[in-house]
Amino acid sequence: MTLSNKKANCGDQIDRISDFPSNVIDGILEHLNIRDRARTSILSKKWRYIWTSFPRLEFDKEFFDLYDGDSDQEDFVDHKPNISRFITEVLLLHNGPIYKFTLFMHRHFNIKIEFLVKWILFLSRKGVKHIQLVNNTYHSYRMPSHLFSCQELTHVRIRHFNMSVPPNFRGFKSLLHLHLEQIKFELGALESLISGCPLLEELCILNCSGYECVDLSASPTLKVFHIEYNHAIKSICLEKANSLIDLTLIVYRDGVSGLNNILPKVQRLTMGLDSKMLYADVIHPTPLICLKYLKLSTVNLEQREELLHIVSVLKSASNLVELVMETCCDKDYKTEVPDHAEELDCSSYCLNQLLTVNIKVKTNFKHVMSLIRFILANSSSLKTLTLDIDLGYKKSDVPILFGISRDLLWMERASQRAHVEVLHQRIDYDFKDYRYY
Amino acid sequence: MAQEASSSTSSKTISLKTGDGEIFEIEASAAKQMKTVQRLIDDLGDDITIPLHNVFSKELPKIIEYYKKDITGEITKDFEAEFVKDLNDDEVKVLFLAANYLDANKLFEFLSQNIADRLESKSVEYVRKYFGVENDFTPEEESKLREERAWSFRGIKEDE
Repeated sequence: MTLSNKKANCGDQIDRISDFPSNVIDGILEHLNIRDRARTSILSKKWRYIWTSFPRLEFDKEFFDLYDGDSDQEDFVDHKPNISRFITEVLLLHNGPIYKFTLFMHRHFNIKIEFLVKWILFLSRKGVKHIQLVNNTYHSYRMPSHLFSCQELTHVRIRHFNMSVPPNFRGFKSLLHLHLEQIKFELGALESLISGCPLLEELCILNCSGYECVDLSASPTLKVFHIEYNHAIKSICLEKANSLIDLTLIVYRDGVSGLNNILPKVQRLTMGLDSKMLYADVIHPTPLICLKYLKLSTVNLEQREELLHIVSVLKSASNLVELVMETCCDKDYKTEVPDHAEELDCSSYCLNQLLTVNIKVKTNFKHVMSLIRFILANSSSLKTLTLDIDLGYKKSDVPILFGISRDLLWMERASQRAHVEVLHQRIDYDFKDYRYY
Repeated sequence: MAQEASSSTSSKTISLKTGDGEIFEIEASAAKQMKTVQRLIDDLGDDITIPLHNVFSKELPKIIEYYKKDITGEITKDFEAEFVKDLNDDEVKVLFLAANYLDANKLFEFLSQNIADRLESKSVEYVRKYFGVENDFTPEEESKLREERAWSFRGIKEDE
């Protein structure tokens, strides 16, 4: 920054009526959006170039939304190409390093790839550290190879691009966060990318394609790993990921190795399985002593071993603070099932740190009631338990909900202050119809 | 200077004297958050009333209120929204300049965000008035600049 960062010292006589001191100006510019900052150039001669050395440039969704869908603005005849021109102009006027660049490519604005290539080339010479390129248009763009020349990158977030890694790529030696969404990789690109980032702490791979394996042995510093993938992915190797504390795995097949080696250190775990899989096969009995947050989707409590397995997982997570569970099943809710309550009774007072529980269930909630009984009986610190029921379009909701609420009221609670709530939601909508306490 | 045991700062109060002669008390732990005050305490000792020439009795109580909440860890978004709700733009400015003078970082950050929010999409004239900036462009220079930056004039609010 070209402005000095002098802090006001005790002896300064600040005339309240005159210009603000420079660090004060910095403080305010920091929070203005790009348009407001650009307009400060018209305030006075002193202000004309202040905005040009501000090291962040954000052309986000709000920026584009403002130019979207207007037919009444005369200055914007065929305004779409002009947006690229404005961005180019802002970049060319810029003076000094650019640490953070955000570009949200809006669906209604066609930004030509040539512009993107030139912008990234320009940024690679400005010491950019933090880049966000979100392509929200209907077609994917090829990621400009100049991205790989941005040697100072620490944070990268990209969405909906085709990506290949140039052969002379020397890695991103300072990269800490890598967030990849809807990226189509050329063969080997993801592997080259990951192995080129020795300091990586956070890696997200969401709905990407063009890779078959992810091996985290190349990332010993990785703390956070989120992956959502599909059937095409053959293996995920977590074996050497010894620093991992936050894991999200939306899994669709076997092929995850090393999960149980690292679980004892994990503090936040989110998992979802393919409908044919069971947690009993994926999570082995291990003391989950570091686990504070657990979210399990696609839990099929219909299967008795699965219900018992979930209970044993909860028993081993003695420091758990928050639990979220989404169950699934496809049986009709009228089917009678045996009650497993006795087997779930536990007098060893596990789950002492548990504060919040949220369980979403569809038609078959009876199994969930056994689990809830277990949780209520064993969590001495519990504050809130929310049961979110989606019965679909069944007509006879009200008596069912009354029955559930009555059963919940009768359950023994280890925590006197536990607040139990039943929500009833329709599918596809998020509005709440009935609420019982 | 730093002779007192650090444990004594937790319950000790410091006297602050504003530019218009009024005296206010704050806890020593709150005073620590205002680096200017802390420096004065280090130089003058904590038994003396600390003079703050550039902060006045109108704004100091509000600042003290903020840091009282801060030391108990109770500052929430709701509290902050409530804190600035009834302040007009000039009052926020005065508070902001005081936070700058006192080198009270947290309050400074919060108020700079609030001021930026208040200035969002405001006209150039309004912002000039707010910062006390004199327009030294010639009319030709100004209109040329406005034309160059036409794209940034989207969605400008009318001045009240």
